[in-house]
Amino acid sequence: MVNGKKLMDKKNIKGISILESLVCLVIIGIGFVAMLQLSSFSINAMDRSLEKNKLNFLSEMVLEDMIGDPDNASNYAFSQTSCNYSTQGGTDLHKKKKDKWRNKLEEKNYIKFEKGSGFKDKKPKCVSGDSKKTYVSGGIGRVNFFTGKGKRKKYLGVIVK
Amino acid sequence: MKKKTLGFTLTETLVAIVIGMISVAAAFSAYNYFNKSYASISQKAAISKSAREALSLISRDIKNAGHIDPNFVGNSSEGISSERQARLKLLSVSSKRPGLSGKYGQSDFLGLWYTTSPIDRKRVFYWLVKHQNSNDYYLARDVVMNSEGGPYWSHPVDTELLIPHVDDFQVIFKDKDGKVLVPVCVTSCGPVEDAQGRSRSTSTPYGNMNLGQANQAEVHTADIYLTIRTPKEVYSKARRTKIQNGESNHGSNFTIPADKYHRETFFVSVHTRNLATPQVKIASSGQSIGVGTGYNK
Repeated sequence: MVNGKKLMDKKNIKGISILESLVCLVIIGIGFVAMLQLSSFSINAMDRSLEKNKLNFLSEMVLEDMIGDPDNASNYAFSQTSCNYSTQGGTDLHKKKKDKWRNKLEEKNYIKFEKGSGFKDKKPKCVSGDSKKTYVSGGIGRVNFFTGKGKRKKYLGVIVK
Repeated sequence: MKKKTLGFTLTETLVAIVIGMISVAAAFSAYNYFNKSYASISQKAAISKSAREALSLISRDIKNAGHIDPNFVGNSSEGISSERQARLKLLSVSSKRPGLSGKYGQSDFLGLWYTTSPIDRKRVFYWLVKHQNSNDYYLARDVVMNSEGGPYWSHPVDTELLIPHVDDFQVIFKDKDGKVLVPVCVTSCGPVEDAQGRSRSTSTPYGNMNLGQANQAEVHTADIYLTIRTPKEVYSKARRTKIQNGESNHGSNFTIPADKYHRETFFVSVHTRNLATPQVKIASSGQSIGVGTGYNK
């Protein structure tokens, strides 16, 4: 140790200390965490993209239903502000169509995955603040989808008549 | 002991090895994680892309279905000489036909016809086809021009692989009141359509037709369901999947045995532009346009 102390006292020390290597490790660790976050962000982005792709199809469904019943387009105003949908019944075409939208927006009975001893619905992501609305005025129909707690907005419009 | 000691002590070396191993383990697990994420993302992107391609094409064809060029009757290269004859083939779906209904035997066979000029009519078929020697099915698209024969018969698209790994394909037709319309079948029909009264004679403005033919003109909306699985396995644990596409009694309902694939069902609803259109009346006489003969439809 005497010799070792002498060595430490020298001005010219070669190599790195344990402290330096630990600091270096922490910096590399932060880099790893950042990369992991980047990866999880890209996975979420892909999921969002998939959901948006489905939203596109659902918007088309809504607009197609409006186009298919142009004389009653004004009855197709619709607002769904919660994530729980319940059909409301009715024999009119627009009421049936709106119930269809409710079912499809929930992907009811499409596809179920095994979970535990039974099956679980695969539903599109829906959180508080998300909403689906349609507006019809002057022969123009519009669909507004708010997703990601209402932060992401998607508007689509069509001339119904 | 020498005055000047070069190199590492045993403790330093051990600490360095431990730190090095931790770093390598972190790098390895991060690589694994990235790799799995990339595989999962690319698989999901693949089915999303497949669905977009297929549904866009099917939607476009259904919007065109049933279009009869105003000058088609009499000029058709297939020899169609009356409005009734032209209306015998517009749109058709048959369910659960052996050999045409996919891996799980529940898929539909969709056929549609529309004119592309006063002499040409296009026939398009969609159904699930087994992919060579694999156990997978793909959605096939087949196009024939002037399928009834004649000088302009051609087969431009022969059972083309449209999208792979399709587990279910359902088409549900609805009338102008939103009710499920069955049977709508003029080709590849089977026991399902027969049980729905397909051969029952029905009166139409174009003369008597069977119910499967007469219902074609009533189709107002087509609901299309497409269930696709990822090309490669995504999950580490196998699980079963239940598919329920369509309406009760009209659609599919089956369970896929446990596997590690991810599945998505895509849905699109299309309004037929040329069928179940509102009847237009001449204001002065009240006569319906489209019922009489010789009028520009």
